[in-house]
Amino acid sequence: MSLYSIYVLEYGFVPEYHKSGVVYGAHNQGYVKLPYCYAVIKGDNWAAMVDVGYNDRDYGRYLGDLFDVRNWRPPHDVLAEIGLTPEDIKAVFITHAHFDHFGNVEAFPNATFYIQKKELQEWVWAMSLPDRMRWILSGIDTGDILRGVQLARDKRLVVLDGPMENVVPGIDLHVAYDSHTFACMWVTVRNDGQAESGDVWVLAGDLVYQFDNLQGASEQLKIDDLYLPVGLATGSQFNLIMATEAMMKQVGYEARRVIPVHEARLEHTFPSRLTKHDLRVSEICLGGDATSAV
Amino acid sequence: MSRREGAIHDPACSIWDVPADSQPEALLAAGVRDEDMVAYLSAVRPLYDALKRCLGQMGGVLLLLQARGLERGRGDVLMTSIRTQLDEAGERLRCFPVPPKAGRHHAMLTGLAKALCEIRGRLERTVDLIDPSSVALGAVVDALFGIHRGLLATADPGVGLSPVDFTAACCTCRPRTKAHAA
Repeated sequence: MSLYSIYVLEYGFVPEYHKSGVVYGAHNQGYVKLPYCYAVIKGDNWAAMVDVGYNDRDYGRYLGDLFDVRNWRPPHDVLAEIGLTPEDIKAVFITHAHFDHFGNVEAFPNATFYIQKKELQEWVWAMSLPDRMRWILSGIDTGDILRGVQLARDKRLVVLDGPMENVVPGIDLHVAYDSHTFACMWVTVRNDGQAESGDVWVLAGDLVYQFDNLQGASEQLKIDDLYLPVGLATGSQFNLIMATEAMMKQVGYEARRVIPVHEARLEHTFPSRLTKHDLRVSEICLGGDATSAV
Repeated sequence: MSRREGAIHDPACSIWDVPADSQPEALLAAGVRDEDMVAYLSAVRPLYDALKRCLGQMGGVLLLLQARGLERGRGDVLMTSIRTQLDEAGERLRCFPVPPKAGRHHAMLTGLAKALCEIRGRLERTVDLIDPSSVALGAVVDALFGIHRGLLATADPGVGLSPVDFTAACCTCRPRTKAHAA
């Protein structure tokens, strides 16, 4: 019996996004829909999230205008689609510190947050660099750092120094250093609770945006099944490829078990439905005797 | 450029020399037509970013203190960097003409720079700031949140004054808009 239900919940989307932002080197290859999502892991009387999205309040309208982000909805509305409230969330695994993953911690008053120490250390160091190197800081909101201090004061921030097994039973946190960001995490759910699990799901954070990063095609190389890095790496494409291999190895190279949260085509792979706000709910798996939310 | 020591550049490294920045073309493209405002915004954008980064570094110092993640050497370098950036920003804020329309904006940024300098002084004595429940830490955090609100108030993302730089963020390269598609 599976320990957890896993969902990917869309909280906004960009209808037409440059494919080159999704797949490294995919220049002039058109546009794809880019959903903004977070993942929820739901057990008996316990729920966790992988990332928290961003808060529309401070700069969301600007973001919406500039990047054409549509239908942003707050966690209260989004989580209600699977019968949860933000108050029900007990743990949040922050894969990395970009604003669209770490930008709404205040919405989850009962959660303990997990993040990598190196992710914090290196961003803080990067802020000491001169203006001409500010590209490195793209997507980092100083307000999120301050809110992190407040979490620490409230004893709701756990700063990890590397991977961690069984952060809760059956859930492991892994790190890809100097990849998408300085210390970008992915979350592995061993849904049968076994150490050598036969029911593994990987929630990839931004180490994989879409299916093309897992099973891409290269016209140049005449290969139609290869890893292609995401379009943004603060670290290196090499480390993204190595992280992808590590994730794929964990799921026995069954690509559908590595879940990319920016992938609109999840609806073709997993039971899904649209909400009244035209946002997708994808049900990756159902735990125990849980009933379907889609 | 001097050699790097670990992950941190040497204090004497030329990397710390923040160059003057200007972006009049971008401002014109953003629809700013007043030449005095173009000059003002060009001059103030890197200083706004410097204040933002100093705020983030101070928040980061506190966060790493709480997380026991602030190594002594790294903390010293960060504090030196903050001091350098604040001194320079404060000096440069006094060195360019401020059009009347931007008077309050400039005054607020100057006030934020001053407030950051005061907080930097309080961060010199970190022993008072380690205990999460300490009154001193609470006061510093409240003050930093106040400065963050000030940065939001003085923001204008359309001309590059933004609390978050979205230019290359996760999933935020500029998509095709209706205007582009037309």
